[in-house]
Amino acid sequence: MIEISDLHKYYGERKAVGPLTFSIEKGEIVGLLGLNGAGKTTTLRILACDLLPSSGSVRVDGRDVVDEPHEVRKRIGYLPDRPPLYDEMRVHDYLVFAARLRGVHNGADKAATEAEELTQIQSVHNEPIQTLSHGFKQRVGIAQAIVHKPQLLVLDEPISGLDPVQIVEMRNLLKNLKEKHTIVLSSHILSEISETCDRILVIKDGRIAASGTENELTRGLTEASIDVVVKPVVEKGGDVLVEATMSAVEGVSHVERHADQGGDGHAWSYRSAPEAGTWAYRVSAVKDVRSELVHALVHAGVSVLEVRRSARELESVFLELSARPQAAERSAPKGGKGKT
Amino acid sequence: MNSALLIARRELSAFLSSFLGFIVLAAVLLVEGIYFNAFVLGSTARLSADVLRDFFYMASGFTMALAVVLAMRLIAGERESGTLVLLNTAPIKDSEIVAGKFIAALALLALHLVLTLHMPLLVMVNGKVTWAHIGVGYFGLLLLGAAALAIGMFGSALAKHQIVALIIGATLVTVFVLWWMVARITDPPLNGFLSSMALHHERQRPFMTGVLKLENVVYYVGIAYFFLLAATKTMEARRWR
Repeated sequence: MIEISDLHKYYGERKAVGPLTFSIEKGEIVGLLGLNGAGKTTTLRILACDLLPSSGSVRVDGRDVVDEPHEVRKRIGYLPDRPPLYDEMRVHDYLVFAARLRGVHNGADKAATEAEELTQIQSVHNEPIQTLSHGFKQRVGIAQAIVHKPQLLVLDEPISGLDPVQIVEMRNLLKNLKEKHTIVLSSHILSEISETCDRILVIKDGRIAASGTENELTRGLTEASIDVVVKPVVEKGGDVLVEATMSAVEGVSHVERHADQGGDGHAWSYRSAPEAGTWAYRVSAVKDVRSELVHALVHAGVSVLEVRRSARELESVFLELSARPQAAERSAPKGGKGKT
Repeated sequence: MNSALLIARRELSAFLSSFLGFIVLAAVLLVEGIYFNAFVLGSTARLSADVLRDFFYMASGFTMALAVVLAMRLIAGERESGTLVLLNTAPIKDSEIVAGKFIAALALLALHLVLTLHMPLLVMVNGKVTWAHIGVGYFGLLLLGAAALAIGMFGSALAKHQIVALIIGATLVTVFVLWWMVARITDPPLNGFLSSMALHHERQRPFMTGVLKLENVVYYVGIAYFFLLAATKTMEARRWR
């Protein structure tokens, strides 16, 4: 669906992107992950034919963005980081306008209604856009991107600024859209990328620093991070027993109790407070030692309630790639490399 | 062309649904009306044709000013509000975007001119002027407005912000109006060229007196075309920047 080869983009003397090479298959939902200024928005703007590349080739469905921009634009729906909305227009009129602009002359009204249904904005279809909440505006932005039924959806930070409820709704919306469209989205919200996308492209300094699924990326981590929740041990010194048991497992480098339970685990205090009547730990290890931990704890008579790889692992990959210059050249151990 | 008309229709409806648009139009008409009564009609007896000429002279200034103000938001305003990307990523040409916005703004200028029609009609009722004089005068104003609008749109295509677009547009229009003054202090053949390039002096006067000359029509159409083309090329070039 998308083939980008040796793409470079300069703003004057400053290089924003390049060299960038990757491809995306039809039906995939791919996330571009990177810090601000990494080149995500520039890449998406080039895909949407809003900007032209300085060099290299960008093809969408076999059409080059420089040679056949109109053909590419017909195949793309684009939501920039700031939805392009005319505040004074009513939602339905705006979508009809967007549909006609994209060449849907007969049936623009029907296309707008379908987009409203898909993005669940029927309840506000007759409202002026300026009166809508941020979440609805974002939905209207997505509706304008899909109103002409494009093959490819390019979404720049679609969940930026949404509240938790709106984020869940947007995630479900993206999953619905996935059935009909290939989707490329950018975000610096790591959990969102891992929740929504089939594949992640980590961009740093305008290049692909790593690519692959979440598992493929975390496999390359030097340390695995595991969350463990156990039933409290009533005997005196029970907490010491639990920590000592886990520390004794081969490969474990560090065990820390959740900050809310008196531990110094400030690094993971972002997580909601542990369930009452449980003890929560984070274990750092040189490899995935989940089965060994369970075995050791059960053997020590500790009741294990939950053992899982930490949700923060992707963030660790991200930070590791951002912090280490040499990591910029690393690709995922398997699978990802073939597509970058 | 369909896309240009689609954009023009949206622009017009946006203007007509905006309270601010009507306020601007009403303010311009109010100032024009006061100026007409105070300076054009005057208190002494004069030939009707002279009064009508003075009316067109006054209206030409307001038309140019309104054209530059209308033009400033056409592209720079959309760029500022982030909506230009909707047009930029649609399968339409940049020339259609420019044409659509130009048509809409020209229609608004024409609306403004129609709303000033009562002033020459007052002259007609109380004096002796021909419909042809009025028609030619208004045609000249529309051509002048189109040229000033195109110059303003070029400024709007260059600028990121509306206020910068206004400054560029107003400066360019003023320079084009003042070419004839530069012509007075330069030698032939440059003075002849500069004088003929002036936006108002030699070109607008015949219209004001009811004289229709093809060369003047061609001049205004040429200026409008040149700056619309420049605006289109500027938009195309910005994709490469």
